[in-house]
Amino acid sequence: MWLLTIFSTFLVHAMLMTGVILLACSMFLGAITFFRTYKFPMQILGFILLGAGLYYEGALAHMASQEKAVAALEIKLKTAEAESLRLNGIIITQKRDYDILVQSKGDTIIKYIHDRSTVIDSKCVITPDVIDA
Amino acid sequence: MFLASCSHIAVPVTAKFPDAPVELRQECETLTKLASTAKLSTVVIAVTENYVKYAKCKRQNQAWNEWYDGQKKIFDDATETRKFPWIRIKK
Repeated sequence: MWLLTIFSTFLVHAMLMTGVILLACSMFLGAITFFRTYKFPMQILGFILLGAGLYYEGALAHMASQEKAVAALEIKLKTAEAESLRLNGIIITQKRDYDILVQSKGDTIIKYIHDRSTVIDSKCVITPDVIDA
Repeated sequence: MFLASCSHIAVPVTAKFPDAPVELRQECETLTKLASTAKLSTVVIAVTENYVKYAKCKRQNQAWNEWYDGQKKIFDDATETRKFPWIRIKK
């Protein structure tokens, strides 16, 4: 189908139409001398053009459906990218919030221990209030 | 030969697995160590600090797994091409 990158759509339609016209002329216009003389070459050329034209018409239709599918997939990928960014945001925010909470709890406990460090160090005992903190 | 030369054309669809956020790729903090002469209050503070570091590291690991599972599901769903078997997405 790479040939379709060279052929224009118009050329494919023209190929098919020319094939049909040539075959029709060779079959139904035998009364006219010109068509009677070139009947056989016209039929051969007509069949070739009709065959190639039909093939490329099919290829064009296939390409059109493929382009549609690609467009749909690209939209799907764009949506997925947005969804991915949203998920990133949720995960990072939750982690950050948890870190802040844990750090603040830890800081509170450490401050509490600092305040009671003289008692803890002198008796060499962890008092229950420190454990509860 | 003319007709047979018409095979496939490349489909310009590229899907890239997203990069992980920097926050999730950081190493866990090193745990606080103690000198052999440390006082009990210092020991308790070090234990608390290490507990905080561990909790953060555990949460980071959990977040990393959540990120991977979520992103993989999104990526797999988006690159599912059963409906269009002739399309090969470049990953």
